[in-house]
Amino acid sequence: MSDEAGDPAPAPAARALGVLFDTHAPGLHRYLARRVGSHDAEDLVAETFLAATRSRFDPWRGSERAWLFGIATNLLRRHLRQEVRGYAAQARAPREVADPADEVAIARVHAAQRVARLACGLAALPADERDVLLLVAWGGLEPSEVAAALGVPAGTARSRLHRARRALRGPTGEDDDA
Amino acid sequence: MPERQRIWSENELDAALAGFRADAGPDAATLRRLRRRVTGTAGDAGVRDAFPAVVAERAVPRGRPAPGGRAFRWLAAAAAAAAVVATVSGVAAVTSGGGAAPAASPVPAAPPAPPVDGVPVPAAELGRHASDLEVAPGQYLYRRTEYAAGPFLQEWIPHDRSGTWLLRGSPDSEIGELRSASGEYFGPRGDSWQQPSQEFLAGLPRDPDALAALLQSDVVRRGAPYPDAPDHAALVAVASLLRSTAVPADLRAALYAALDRVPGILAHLEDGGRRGVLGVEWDADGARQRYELLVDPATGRMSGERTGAPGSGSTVSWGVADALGVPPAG
Repeated sequence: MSDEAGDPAPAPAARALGVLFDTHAPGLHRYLARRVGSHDAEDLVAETFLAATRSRFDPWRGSERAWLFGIATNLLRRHLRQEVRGYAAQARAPREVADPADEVAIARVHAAQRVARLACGLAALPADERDVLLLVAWGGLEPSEVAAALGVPAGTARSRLHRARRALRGPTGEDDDA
Repeated sequence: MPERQRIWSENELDAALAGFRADAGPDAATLRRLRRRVTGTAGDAGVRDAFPAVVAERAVPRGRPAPGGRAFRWLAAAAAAAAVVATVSGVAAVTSGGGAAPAASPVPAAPPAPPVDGVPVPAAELGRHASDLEVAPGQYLYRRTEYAAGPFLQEWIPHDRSGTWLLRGSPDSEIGELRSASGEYFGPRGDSWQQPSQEFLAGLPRDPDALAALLQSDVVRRGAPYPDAPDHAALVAVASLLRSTAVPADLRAALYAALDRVPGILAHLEDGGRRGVLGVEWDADGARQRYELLVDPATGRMSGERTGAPGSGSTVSWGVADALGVPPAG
């Protein structure tokens, strides 16, 4: 099919796919790119839509958005090691600045330390907990949508999310200053 | 204390997640390239099979909109239906616990069928022999709805649907007579399962998958008015459509087949195969509830509704009338 001027109007199915793409592709790409980088995200978005057209959307099990994010997350499994390596690469925290009066430098280092701490935590999470957490945080899905996307009970999705967040917040020692 | 050893608050964690690789995302050129790649790869058939609702919604012209948007339409239609029911029966009972065959039905009875009572059947089976009564120009499709509580309603629907419709209540119904062009007794019809326009009926897909998906997106996803019973909502929407207008045979067949796609809606036959039942159960107010739409399998026409509650429900019969306000002979 072509979108050049003068061509006949695309068939309804093609128009529908275009609408679906315009609706969901930006969010899907953003979610995937944050997990595995832009280059692979592009391939994964294309694979997600292709896989979607070869399977069947069941509207009784969730929204189109949840379904597409579920497919994308399943496809991400092939990139698991790459994803974890990416987090590990960002997990190296910068050292403290030498000059305690340099507030800009201190703020920058602290921000980098937060990124490093989160990356370290993400790398250490079990894959199923990381999926739920990031579908919520970066995919923008509700926990109930995540359950539909991953084909797990809603309670399972919620407990995975809870465990992931608890792990990322840090040790639950009583001497912390939360 | 070093960052690594301090417990983050929930807000701090959210902020850290929001800021992590926040600049990742596609630029316009990437999206254009991806769009060409995606739409150029997937075949039409695949898209149609995978996303029937979206295809149907984009491909089918919808009827003229009713004022006020979808929420308003739902509420207005529900209010109109409730008003009729309350006026007719004096209680909020659209459905009946009856189950008796329609009295004095102008429609020929179904042919004898083997004893299959209670055996589950595909819902599509109830529409397999769907047919329309022959209504000539100048004639009217006639519907009589008898409520278990006593009152009854008669309706005359003109061959030309834009002509004058007549809704007449029995003397004990207090509804009197309502006449309106296009059957708009309770306000404009439009894209509504409760107050459908002819354009809406014509635009509904006849493909059961597309219809099921459309039901889902139109009715179930919004949840109203049964957020805890989406299957019930789907069946009620179909019943509302059948109750509120004359639904052509091809659409009735598609609707029943679409209900096969709705988990929780079960069909079976009764009365030696003469009555089809589409039923759904759900929990509400601490009790198990049940709603059933009754269909004549010989014609695919709605033949009543029931809940099992004593004194509630209806039976529906159909015929062809030669004049407005005059019931068919016999």
